[in-house]
Amino acid sequence: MSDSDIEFGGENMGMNNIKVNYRKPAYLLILLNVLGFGLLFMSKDYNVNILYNGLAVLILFLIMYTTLVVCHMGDKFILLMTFMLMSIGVLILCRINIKYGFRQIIWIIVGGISFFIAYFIYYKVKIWEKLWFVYFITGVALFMITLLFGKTVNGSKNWVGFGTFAFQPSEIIKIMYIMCLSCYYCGTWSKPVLGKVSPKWVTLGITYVFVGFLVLQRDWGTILVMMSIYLFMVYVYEPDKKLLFTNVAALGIIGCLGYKFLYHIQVRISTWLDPWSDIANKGYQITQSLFAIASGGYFGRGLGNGSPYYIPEVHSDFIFAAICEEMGVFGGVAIILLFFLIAYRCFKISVMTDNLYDKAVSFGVTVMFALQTFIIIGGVTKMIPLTGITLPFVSYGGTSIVISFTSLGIIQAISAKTENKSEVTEHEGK
Amino acid sequence: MTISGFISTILSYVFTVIIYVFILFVIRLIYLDVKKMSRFEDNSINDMACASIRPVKTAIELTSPLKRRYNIYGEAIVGRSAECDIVINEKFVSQKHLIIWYEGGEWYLEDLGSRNGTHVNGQRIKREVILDPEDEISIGGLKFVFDI
Repeated sequence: MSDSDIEFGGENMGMNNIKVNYRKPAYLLILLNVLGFGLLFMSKDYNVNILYNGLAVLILFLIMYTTLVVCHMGDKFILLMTFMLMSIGVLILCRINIKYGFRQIIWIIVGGISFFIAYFIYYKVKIWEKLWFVYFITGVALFMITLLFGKTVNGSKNWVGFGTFAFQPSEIIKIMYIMCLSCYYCGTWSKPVLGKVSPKWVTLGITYVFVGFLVLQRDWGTILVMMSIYLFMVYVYEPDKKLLFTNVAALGIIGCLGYKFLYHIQVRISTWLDPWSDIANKGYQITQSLFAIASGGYFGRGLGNGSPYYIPEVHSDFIFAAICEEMGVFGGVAIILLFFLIAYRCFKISVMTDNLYDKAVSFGVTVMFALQTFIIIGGVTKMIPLTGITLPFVSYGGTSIVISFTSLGIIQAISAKTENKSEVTEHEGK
Repeated sequence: MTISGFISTILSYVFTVIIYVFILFVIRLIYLDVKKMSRFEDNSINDMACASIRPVKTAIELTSPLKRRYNIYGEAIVGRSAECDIVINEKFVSQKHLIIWYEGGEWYLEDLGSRNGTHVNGQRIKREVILDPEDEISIGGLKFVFDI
């Protein structure tokens, strides 16, 4: 690759004559990691483990990025931006507690492997659009396992543990749900089920069955994400808007009933409206988060200078507050910008692909990422009521990281399909 | 304030700058990517004049099947040789049979000295003619309809 970003061919201005330099942003990413982990190494009493952590992130990044660029595996920018988010996340996690940082890196390595596995499986298998029943059964089975063997953490029963290993089935269910909806909205599943019932009502039924299970688990964040994915899908694909409005109205009624009868939801709303009146108790988490964001200022107090330990759950749900405190409002805005760009790239992949099923799946996955980001950042900054959900790629959490990587692998496979197809047609044209 | 605390205060500005320059680079790369894409698409379809000829069903036997429609971007040579823009591999078609091009708002057709000649709307052409939509172009026994 040459130094200049762009090269024009002399005579025939073909499509292949622009060469994009993919190295410059990668250098910046490496620089950020070297500076950040070096600083942590100094401030944390020269603990060598921090350097190993940084090295692991860099090596994983280089391996994945080079594979992507050399093997022409579709879009390159999504992974680049994801690794930027992840580096910031690991830096903050190492700074909060090196144990979390170390575990996060193990999960990121597992996620990287699952990224490539998901890529190849999705790329090779061609019958995804016919398996709606499999997705539904898998989802229900996972819910059953959660209800029977689940552990209750922070008021919601959404963890399943086998010995030392624990995971959140709801993260997998979200992907299953998106793939199930896509089966209907891509048009291959048009036959009525059980004689008469149109698939439109079956998808509606599946949505409410899943939401019902989630209500039993008291996992409000996932309910919000899943319901919004459904509404977005209906909004984009359904020509008649009656279904959308009926659903919104039904949700409004259910929300009001929930607010009236469920203590859990009442607490969330009241701490959102006025956290200051009960600052020592119910409003403690959100007010500490607001204090942290405010104390950061524009450029932050510097990595290691803040006091993120006051915020409960700072390593998972509230990591955005810690980033704002130590990297400033500009750092926080940069995180939001990166998520914007990722969503933009994913939507572009969704628009470019010809395969209708791929279109629906990539749209659903993008909506999932975007909504999770909006819900948790909105919650942490007290824009909307707080619901516990992880910030994709940044928060500490094994299942979240692995599933985010898997869905990224699916999107990558879709973009690679489109890219390879357009190359083939170009050669045929010549 | 400790030394590392002081350094990290300075580095907090550096981090902000690095992240934003990174975002800028990525946006620039995405911009180049989108531009590359639009150049590939627009040049042929929007910027340049575009027309097409489609074959009419005939009784004569063909050695190779014809496409349903041949697009013409700006200019096209029709003939038997592989160099032509529209290749029709039949015996009665000359190596370079005819040319269709766009100039100043009109589409022109000229015979390139073919052995069997070209007919437009049934008349054998001797010099360049202006094509209208739905004109019938016949090469030997093959008939095409011109569309804009």
